[in-house]
Amino acid sequence: MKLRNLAIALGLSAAFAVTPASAQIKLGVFGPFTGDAAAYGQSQKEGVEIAVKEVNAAGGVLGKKFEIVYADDAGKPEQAAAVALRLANQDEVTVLLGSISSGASLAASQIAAQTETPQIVITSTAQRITTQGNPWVFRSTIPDTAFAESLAAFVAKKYPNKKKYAFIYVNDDFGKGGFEKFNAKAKTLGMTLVADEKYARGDLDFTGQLTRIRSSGAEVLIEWSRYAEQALISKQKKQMGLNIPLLAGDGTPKYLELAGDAAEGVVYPTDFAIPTAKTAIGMALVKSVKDNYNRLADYTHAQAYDAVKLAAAAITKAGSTDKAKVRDALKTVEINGARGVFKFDAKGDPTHSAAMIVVKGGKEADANE
Amino acid sequence: MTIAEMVELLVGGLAIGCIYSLIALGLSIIIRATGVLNFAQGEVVMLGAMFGLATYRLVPLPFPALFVAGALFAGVMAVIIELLIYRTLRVRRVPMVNIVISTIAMSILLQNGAQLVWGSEPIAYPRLFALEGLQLGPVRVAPQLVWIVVLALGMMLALQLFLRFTRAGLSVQAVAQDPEAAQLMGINLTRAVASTYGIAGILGGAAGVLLGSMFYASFNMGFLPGIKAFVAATLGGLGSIGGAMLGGIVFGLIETFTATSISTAYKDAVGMVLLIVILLVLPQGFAGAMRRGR
Repeated sequence: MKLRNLAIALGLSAAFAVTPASAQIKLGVFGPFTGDAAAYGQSQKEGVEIAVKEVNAAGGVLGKKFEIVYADDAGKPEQAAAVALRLANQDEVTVLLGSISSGASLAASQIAAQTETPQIVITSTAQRITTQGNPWVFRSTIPDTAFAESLAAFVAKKYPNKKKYAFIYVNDDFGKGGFEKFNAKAKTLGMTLVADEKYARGDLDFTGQLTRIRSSGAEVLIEWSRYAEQALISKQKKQMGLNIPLLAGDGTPKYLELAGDAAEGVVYPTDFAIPTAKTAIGMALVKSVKDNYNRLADYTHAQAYDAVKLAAAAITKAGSTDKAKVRDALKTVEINGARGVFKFDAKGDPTHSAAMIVVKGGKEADANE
Repeated sequence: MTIAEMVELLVGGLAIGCIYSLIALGLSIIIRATGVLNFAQGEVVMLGAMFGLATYRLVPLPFPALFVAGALFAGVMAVIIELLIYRTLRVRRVPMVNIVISTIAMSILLQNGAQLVWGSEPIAYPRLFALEGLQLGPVRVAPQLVWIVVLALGMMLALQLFLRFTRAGLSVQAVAQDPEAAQLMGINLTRAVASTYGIAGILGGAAGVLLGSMFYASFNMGFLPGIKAFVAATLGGLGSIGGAMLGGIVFGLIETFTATSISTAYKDAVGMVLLIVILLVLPQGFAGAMRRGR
């Protein structure tokens, strides 16, 4: 009985598998299009659409047009795995582009490996996404290690005489990751950690930590937080009259809004921002986002845009849509993207470094100018 | 720690403590009047903060006016919830635990509703004070903290005057002592309980505007302060008005000094350990200890 059923099932699936070769190349784009992180999902969509339009206007890839298949993961790992599976098996996409949050990207990367589909992660910075020995996963954003190292190098260059630093961070994977990576790099640059303060996610009052940092004699303060806590730390630091430079692991428009003038002078690394977009492609992207969607381009736009361009370049180089060949092509492909020359290292992470932003007059400016 | 730092922390602890006191007072008067532990008190705080913000967006009034607007709106909302839900349950003579559970449901409902209306991201409060502290000798005090202490203490004073010298206040007190005897004396029970919720709402809403201006407003901003206010109310003695005021301030100070002198990682844990210790050693709180001392 069982054998017969299996035979029927195999026969059926073989019958359905014989589909005509599609005239289009499908890209599976998944991200949080609803839920808390929907604003990022929106930028991801816009970045992808701009890049796909450009590729198709230039004649497509291998004579075929790109077709986008969207799937919403709501920022949740379990949903990301489910939609990645659907995109790979049912929609038969050639490349997976997603997602935004690290948990979702990591869950989807297991599916990428199972279904042997190349995946380009868009904004997820957690180091472990590319360190699990998964050959199918690539990443458009630079990982948090690179942000921490860029920030440490910037401190050493900008403040050569300030060797004593304090570090305040959120007590979870994200905060600890930034803390450890920054320290490792800072040590090689001759800097000393004099105060190490952590807090729980959702904390509101940081005056205790800041008081201890003040008495530690620190000359610069580094913090690794999400925007809400980051804004409160900036405000309370100013309220306490703790006038040492503040450098942060991240910065978003929401941070600038919440912190108001307490954000003035704060420095943070970014993968892409309008004031540091110095390449012709980057500036053109900023304009396209403005013209088509009436929004300000952010790093998600650039990372999604470059991911599509990388997929296009890899498929062209592979000369086919065979997923294993596309994956091998991604390993060596090199493009001129919105963030400059882009290629992947052996792990699948980008090789470029972060740009540095300083807040001036409530707006982002290039910190290296 | 230098003396100046001590003073600064004292002011900070006092400010956050005053906010806990306001929320704890609301919890306490409701327990006194009806025996219900109102889990939705934290959400009333959130409503106050949100409405204060909405008022500012309509008309950029000065801070004390926003404070009054947020407090009044939260009071009105609390009365509506009481009349629609808790009163209906009470009239049906359901067990007390059902009403308490309905307050938990109300808390979740209000959080979700607020998330739909105002979104899930924190919203910045307008900057109503100069950010830089006032330098008083070696001590630096943020004007905002001073405002918070002044407004909160003013609120507590107003509550005392209301309870002692107005007819409505006296009937609230009477119902708290003995609802049946109060009814026999011609006090309208429905009205007295509704005013109790209204006062608790006003106190919570006031705390919300203060909290929002200190940090930011968000749909779940009331949850943790609500829990902490419960600890504060227990510390002072549940149902005692003076106890709730003192408990809040003491709890704020303990929290701030723990964070600085022991470790911030244990700040919340210390508060909860404190709760268990009070329940074991001093179940009647400060109020009980004082009565026993007499």
